[in-house]
Amino acid sequence: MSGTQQAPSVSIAPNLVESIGLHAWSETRRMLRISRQWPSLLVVLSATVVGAAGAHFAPADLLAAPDFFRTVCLRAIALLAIGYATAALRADADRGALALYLVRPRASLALPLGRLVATTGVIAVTGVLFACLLFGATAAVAVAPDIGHLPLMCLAAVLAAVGYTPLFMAVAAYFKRAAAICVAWFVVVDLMLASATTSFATFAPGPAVQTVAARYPDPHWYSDVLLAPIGQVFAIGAIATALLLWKFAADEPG
Amino acid sequence: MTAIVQLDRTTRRFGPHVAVLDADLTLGPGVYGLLGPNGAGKTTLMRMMAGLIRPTTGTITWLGGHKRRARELDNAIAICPDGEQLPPRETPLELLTLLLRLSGVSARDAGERAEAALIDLGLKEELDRPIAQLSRGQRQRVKLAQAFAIPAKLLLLDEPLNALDPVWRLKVSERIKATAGSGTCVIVSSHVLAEVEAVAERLILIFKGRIVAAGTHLEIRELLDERGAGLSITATEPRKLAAALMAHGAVTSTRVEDDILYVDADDMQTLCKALPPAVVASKTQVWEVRAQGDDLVSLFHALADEVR
Repeated sequence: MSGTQQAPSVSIAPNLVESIGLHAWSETRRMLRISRQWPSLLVVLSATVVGAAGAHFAPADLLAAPDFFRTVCLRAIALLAIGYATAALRADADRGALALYLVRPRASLALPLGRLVATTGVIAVTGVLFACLLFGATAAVAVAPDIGHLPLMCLAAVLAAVGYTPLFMAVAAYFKRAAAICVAWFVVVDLMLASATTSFATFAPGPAVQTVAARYPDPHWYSDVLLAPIGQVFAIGAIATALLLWKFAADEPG
Repeated sequence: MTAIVQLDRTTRRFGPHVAVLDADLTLGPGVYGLLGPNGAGKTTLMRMMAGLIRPTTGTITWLGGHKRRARELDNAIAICPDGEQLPPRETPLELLTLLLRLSGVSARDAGERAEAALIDLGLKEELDRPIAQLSRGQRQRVKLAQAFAIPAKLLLLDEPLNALDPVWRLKVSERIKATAGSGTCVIVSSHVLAEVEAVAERLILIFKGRIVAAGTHLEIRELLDERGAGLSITATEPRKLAAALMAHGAVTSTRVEDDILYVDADDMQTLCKALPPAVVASKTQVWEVRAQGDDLVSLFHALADEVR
């Protein structure tokens, strides 16, 4: 082992945005490894096959693909978000494996935000891919639905990622059994209570995302009816992100 | 001495618990051993010196002027935290490349630098293996590599020799000394005294959050001398020898256990001068003479007793 080495070219350390970008890129690379992608591949393939089959058996149903996307695929995206969001923080936190990152300045903000950006991005892209494959498969084997449904389906997929991912990552930051808590929360609040009473719908991304996906495409699809659920999902995402950062910011460097 | 980090009456509390109390230190280039039992406040002190947590009261000054952990200091401070866990799915090369980039090493150089640092610590064959497949010692070396890879002015190593085999303990110790020789302030934290004695020029002893002693080996030795001296003597007639020493007035107390004579004195020099004539006078044969309490272990216990 040599005691002296040529000094590397070191510039000023990255600022917060650059640090977030580095963490996000690292996490994205980690998530996109094929060994970690089997859940998304499985979800995309199975949903596409099921959706295509459903459309094949009901060729006259123009709403088969959007309905299937709304009732099945969006919930699958939520479950995917539980898996990835909890894995992004909880597994490393439980092992104490975040220590090396957290001794870097600004890491208490950059690490959770970077991983949040990466996880949200991957889930959103998976959801959009989901919508496109489903729409394409339906069009290939049956009567093509109105093309106006596709952007709504894609928007709903992105909103699902934006709403669910920070929520589940915040849970992962605070609780050890995060995955179980997230699944329980999803079933009880998002599926059962939110559909029964409107007040609970405020705290769950699901009903808002469903509203977007259920809109029939028309020239006014961007009207207030659409903006309200979008705002609601972003508000839920922002509150959850704040809670996530609060957890990490307890000992911010002085 | 050019101060690299200076603590002025620095205290850190966690709720009602005082982790570090009124720490006053001025540290320049060299290797400092931070010694203390588990829970003494070593890690909190190191995290404060790294600028990762703020002191509750008091100030810390880095590189002569910075009172806060400014961005300019990010490349000047490196830390190897305690604990052996690392992200299991990353490879050492991926992890170090990211950590170097987060420390300001350019994208162009980070990969090369990470590879060189890992190879330097004997991990050439493990560059692209997932960390989960590495042994404890290899994971420790990955942690050390990320700290050594940054050309820092202040290098904080928390239990750096944990999990290393004797060969790597020696190599890492040499590396620590070489790093300090290039003008870096290296602080090595440990609760194993022998480890720190072997590598550090200066020692900082901390107990229950208080710095109970700090200085060079020589200064610590003087502290030992101030505490008085003791010998254990294996002799054929220990009681006669004890009487002779008492008659000489060189000892403060004696006791015999298992035919070994234990003597305490105010001053080691006087005791050593008195021993040969006492041996002659008592007509006893001496087989072995050992110094008692003449090591850091006993000093640490004595200082810790004072704090208690």
